[in-house]
Amino acid sequence: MKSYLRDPFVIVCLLAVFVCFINIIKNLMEENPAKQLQIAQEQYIAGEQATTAMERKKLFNEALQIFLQLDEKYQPQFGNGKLYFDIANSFFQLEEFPLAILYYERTVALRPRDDKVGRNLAIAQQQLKLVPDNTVSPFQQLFFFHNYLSLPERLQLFSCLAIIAVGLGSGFFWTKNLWLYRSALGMGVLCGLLLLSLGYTHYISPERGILIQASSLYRDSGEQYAKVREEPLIAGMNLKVLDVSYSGKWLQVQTPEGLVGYVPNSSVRLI
Amino acid sequence: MKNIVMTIALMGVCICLGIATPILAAEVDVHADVESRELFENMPVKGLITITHPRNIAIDDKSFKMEKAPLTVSLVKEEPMTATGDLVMSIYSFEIGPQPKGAHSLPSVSVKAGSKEYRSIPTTYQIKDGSASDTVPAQSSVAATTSSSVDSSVVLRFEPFIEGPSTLYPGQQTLVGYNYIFNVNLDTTGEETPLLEAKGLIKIGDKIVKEGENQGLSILQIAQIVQGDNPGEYSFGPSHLEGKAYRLNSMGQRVYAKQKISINTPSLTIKVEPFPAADKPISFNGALGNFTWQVKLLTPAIVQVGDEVSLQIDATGKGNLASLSLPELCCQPGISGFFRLSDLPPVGTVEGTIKHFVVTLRPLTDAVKEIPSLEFSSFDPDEKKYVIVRSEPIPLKVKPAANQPSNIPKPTPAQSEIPQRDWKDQWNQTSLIAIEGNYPLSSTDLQDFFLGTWWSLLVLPIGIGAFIFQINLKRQLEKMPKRVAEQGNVLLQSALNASPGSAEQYRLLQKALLVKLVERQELGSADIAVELLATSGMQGKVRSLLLAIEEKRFSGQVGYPNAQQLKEAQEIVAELDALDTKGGEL
Repeated sequence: MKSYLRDPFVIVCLLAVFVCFINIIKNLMEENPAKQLQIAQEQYIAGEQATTAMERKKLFNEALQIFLQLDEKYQPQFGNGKLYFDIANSFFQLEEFPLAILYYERTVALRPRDDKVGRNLAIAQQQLKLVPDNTVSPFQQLFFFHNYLSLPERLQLFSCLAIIAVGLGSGFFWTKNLWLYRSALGMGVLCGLLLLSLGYTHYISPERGILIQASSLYRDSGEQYAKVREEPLIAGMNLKVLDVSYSGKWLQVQTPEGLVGYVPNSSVRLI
Repeated sequence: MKNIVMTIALMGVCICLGIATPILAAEVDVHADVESRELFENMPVKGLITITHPRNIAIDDKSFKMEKAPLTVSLVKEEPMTATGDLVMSIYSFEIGPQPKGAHSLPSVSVKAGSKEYRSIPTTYQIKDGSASDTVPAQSSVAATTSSSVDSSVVLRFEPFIEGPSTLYPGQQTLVGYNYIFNVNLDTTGEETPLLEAKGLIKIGDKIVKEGENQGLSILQIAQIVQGDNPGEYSFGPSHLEGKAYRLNSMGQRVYAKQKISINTPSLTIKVEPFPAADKPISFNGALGNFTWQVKLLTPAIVQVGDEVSLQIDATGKGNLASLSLPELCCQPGISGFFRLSDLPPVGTVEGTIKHFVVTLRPLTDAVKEIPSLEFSSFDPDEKKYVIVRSEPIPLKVKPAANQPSNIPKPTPAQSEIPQRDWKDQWNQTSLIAIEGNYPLSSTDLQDFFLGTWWSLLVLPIGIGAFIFQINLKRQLEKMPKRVAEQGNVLLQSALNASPGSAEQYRLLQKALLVKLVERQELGSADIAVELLATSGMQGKVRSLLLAIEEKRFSGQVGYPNAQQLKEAQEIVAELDALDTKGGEL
């Protein structure tokens, strides 16, 4: 028994169990946000039913404030995206369309199959006279699941398949059953594909950001440089972030039209 | 040159010594004054004489005189001026008879110290009219009716006040507080000042404390600026003050009045009225006062779609500029749909009597022709009516943006072409854009997916660890001594069950016997040719049996091993089982 306790794998498993236990205790001790959520929802609905602009703005602002507080506290970046959708709607109702687009894009990343989000995003983009980018690259066509499943879903699927593969492989190791071997191999291949997809997301996939306030596109990182084009970029535009300047205050971006230039960091929020 | 400088320095030193010497030589200093500035007629006047002298010079107590008349004094205290010095301060008290009201002069007091006589400089003092009954105010009451001659002139008034309107509108301010008017010291034992707490109203800033004097009475005013918030009637009081008056005697000790003073004042009410609903303009945002508004364009009058346009809006007039905020511009005619306002509301800065706001907006379309007339409204609390001011429109030329995508909808109509609807309808108009409603959220919607974070990649190293663990486990199990006894017996049983005389039976029989030899440690390994077995002992028996079977089989005879040989094999196995193991069996 003592020799098993010295095994690194056993130690890792025990640590993992301990960490899970601590997380469960922590979650149980946290304040239940149900009441805040209810208040926010009520404020939002009341805002929709308000009869004057001032009252409407006040109610939506109150709802938005609660949603943003919950976002700051819980940061559900690997969640189901519903909170982001509600935040986006609140911004939309306050006519803060660039921020609404930002949160709709975040929701799309977490709920890629939800048409509701896409519709609202299109309406928000329309308010700013933005043309949505619906092009699909060959990579996206081949690895359709990459965009069909959100990142948390792919991670979940990978974990489940990996656990199943380990189980099947272990079964084959002890019993030498050929079917177990074949099943483990199949699961391993699927895990490998998902791992590739995750690796692409993390390392290769470009960062994207939303321009939350209109800004000129400069040739280099500074306002003293010439502009790439005279008219400023419209707020709400979806940009591909290529690089960060040395000082961190400017971002090199590419517009949907393909123009490359620099914009101030403060004008862009990453999706 | 050097000699001249030295001479001048020496002269300077002599002059200084010449000035200082008389001062230093003044060994005794006499100072006489009345004890208190609060002197009333028909009261004895008490005074103190302070004499500063070297310790070795004695004061003659009986030599005090005032205007050549002997003066009776009593020593209060004598203490050194410094810890190490020679000078001592002696304090004597005296008393002169009651004086009528008015200004009086305290004559010079002379005293002998050592062998010399020293005098004080004359001073003046004021005797006041000290009738206590004249100081009872109308609003408060003074309950200090004492019988002690010390307390006969106690004056204490406690007066709440509201300086400003007592009927307010939300956002309107007034000053409330208490006046304490007194001529004595008071040891407060109880105080209730609900007016300063102003529950239900908003307190602006800290308490304002003012001190003053009037007709010989000290006045302490503690006030607070309060602001109306929610409409209603707010009653503060009754207020209460109680304590014991005291004076300091010549010894510096407190002498308390026999009776406690207690003052109660009635409640005061402040009313906060709501803004009148009738004729309330849509643009009204709670501004109080009567203001004039000016709108100026700070940026060029020719811009492109999307360019920033800045307006400076100045407010001046009668009212509270600090709390004045800009009314909503988003929904004013000519703004909504044509301009996009800045995300942050303008705060405004006050310079003197003007408050400046800077508003930034961006034209959304080239149909914009002007900054439209903006409406500003406020409520004048004095006139009790709303004041509406409209600015003049400012012409603005907006050029279309270059590279405008082709699928942009047609430009909106010009501002002037929009029918002048009732502004109330436009203000009350809710968003015409319908979007999908919110998701009802629960606490699970705020959590990340289980195994949906990057931490779930730990499954990989854990899985590899699981495999390594199983490999090690299997090795350990294999290293464990086997129950080879079972194996040999199992093989023998398999041989007995096999087809009689078959090659398979012979093979199983051979293996069973060899394994049995191994498990009994008669043999190192079962992978050995039969001919190589020893010819004696158990090995010899097995060798003989197996060779006999082989001889029969390879000579073409069938049915071998036969029953007899199988029985012999069983006997050999039984014999081997019965052998004492040498630690090789579990």
